[in-house]
Amino acid sequence: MRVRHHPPIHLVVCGGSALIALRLVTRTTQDVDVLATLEDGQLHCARPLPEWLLAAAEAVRSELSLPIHWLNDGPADENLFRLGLPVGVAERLVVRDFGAALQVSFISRYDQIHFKLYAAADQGGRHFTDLRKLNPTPEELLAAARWTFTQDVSDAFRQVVVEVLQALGHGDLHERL
Amino acid sequence: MNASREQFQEHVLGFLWRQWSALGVAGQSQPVDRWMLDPEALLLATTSLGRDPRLFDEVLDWLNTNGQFINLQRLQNLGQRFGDLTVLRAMAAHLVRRSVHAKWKTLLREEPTAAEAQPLFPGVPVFGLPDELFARHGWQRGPVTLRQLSQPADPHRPTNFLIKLRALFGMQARAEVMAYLLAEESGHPGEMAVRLAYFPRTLQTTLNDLARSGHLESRREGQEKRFWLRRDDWRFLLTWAAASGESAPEFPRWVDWASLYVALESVTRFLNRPDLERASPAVQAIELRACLETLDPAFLRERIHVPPGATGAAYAEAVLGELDRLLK
Repeated sequence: MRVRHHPPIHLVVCGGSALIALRLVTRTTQDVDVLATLEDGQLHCARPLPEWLLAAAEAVRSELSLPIHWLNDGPADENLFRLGLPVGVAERLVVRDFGAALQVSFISRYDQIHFKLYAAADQGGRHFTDLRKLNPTPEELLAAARWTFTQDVSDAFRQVVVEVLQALGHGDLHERL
Repeated sequence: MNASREQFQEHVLGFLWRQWSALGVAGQSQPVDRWMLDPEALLLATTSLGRDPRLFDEVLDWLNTNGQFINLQRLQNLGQRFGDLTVLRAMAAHLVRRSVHAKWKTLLREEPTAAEAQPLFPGVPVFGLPDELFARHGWQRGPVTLRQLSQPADPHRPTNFLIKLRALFGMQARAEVMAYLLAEESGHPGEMAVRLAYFPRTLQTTLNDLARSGHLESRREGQEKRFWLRRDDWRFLLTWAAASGESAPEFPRWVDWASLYVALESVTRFLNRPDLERASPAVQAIELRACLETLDPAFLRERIHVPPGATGAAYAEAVLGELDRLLK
């Protein structure tokens, strides 16, 4: 990016690569899920990623044999920003510098629990196993569950979240939601 | 036994990730392995030993991209020894939704038996609606979402030598025959049929046809006809860098993966036996010995070296240690 004279950018990353970077989970896929960009301490929806960044990612992909769309804005759903990210997410970011042009921040374990609880209730499978590996405390799950209800207010979703909590051995949190 | 089981299953899962990543699954892998992978054996092993949601779905994703490089006849031959065919059929049911994978219908000739669905991923509950196709084959899991991150197998990695030869020779026995002969230098049809999971007649015909090219030679050894080739004539296939300590790249090692996966399955079943949970180390060792006695004697003789006097907990530890060593 420096060689190509691109402007500096600060990406906020969630998903499997953030789990690996923070050593929270050891095996995930090679994609990098960009949630947001960070400017002046504020998170902004990363969708769409700048064309120059996608071009740079494509150049790297060829060299390192990475999958197509390895750098993607999949999680950067505008609804997520409209309805609200977990309170204080920006203050908890774990920052890594990759030279003058690129900074990457990974969402913290606390915020991963929020996103993984939402994804586990929505899709189950690997998200549930990730959530279990994060070994959340009851208070963390409570905060995460309350946040997920701001994203989906339906009774059906609420019921599934309760099932996830039960499967994690925290069914008793149901009464405190 | 609990700790041994968890550690063993973790190592097996890590090994499967490594193998699949080498083939093009979007996992983290280093191109260090100098053996050639067996895609059919690996897929079957995954149906029984790879029941981790992330790995399993990435394998399904890989099949969606690379399924044409799986030899279904060989898959079925090997499937008589290990793997879970009901899981495999559920995977096939997903694949055939794309016309490019129509050949997978061959695995779906039998009607699935109606039984109550069991969890596909142990310890991972299903929230919301289960996947219908897996449920029809007796397996409970959430909806399948393919992430389309898989890539074609890189032909310039020794691990993918068999896929490279399949791309050259087609999806026939001759790809396996060539891979085997380039690794082992020579072989006879009877031995190769067993090791490569083909019918002896198929191997006999393939070897005779290949010999007519003038690039394969043969001689009689008693009742058997032994075939061989000059490896130097085929060095143009070696499109990867030499390993450290080698002056030039070498052909990848041929490994009897099927026997290893059979052993891993057997030991996994042993470690999951609830009746042995509280048994004494002596009883556990007796049952483990019985479990190993069902395995291929040649595999045990050549690859599992347990100190002759080992008993009880030391015996179990030695066996698990040997299997662990084979996964490195």
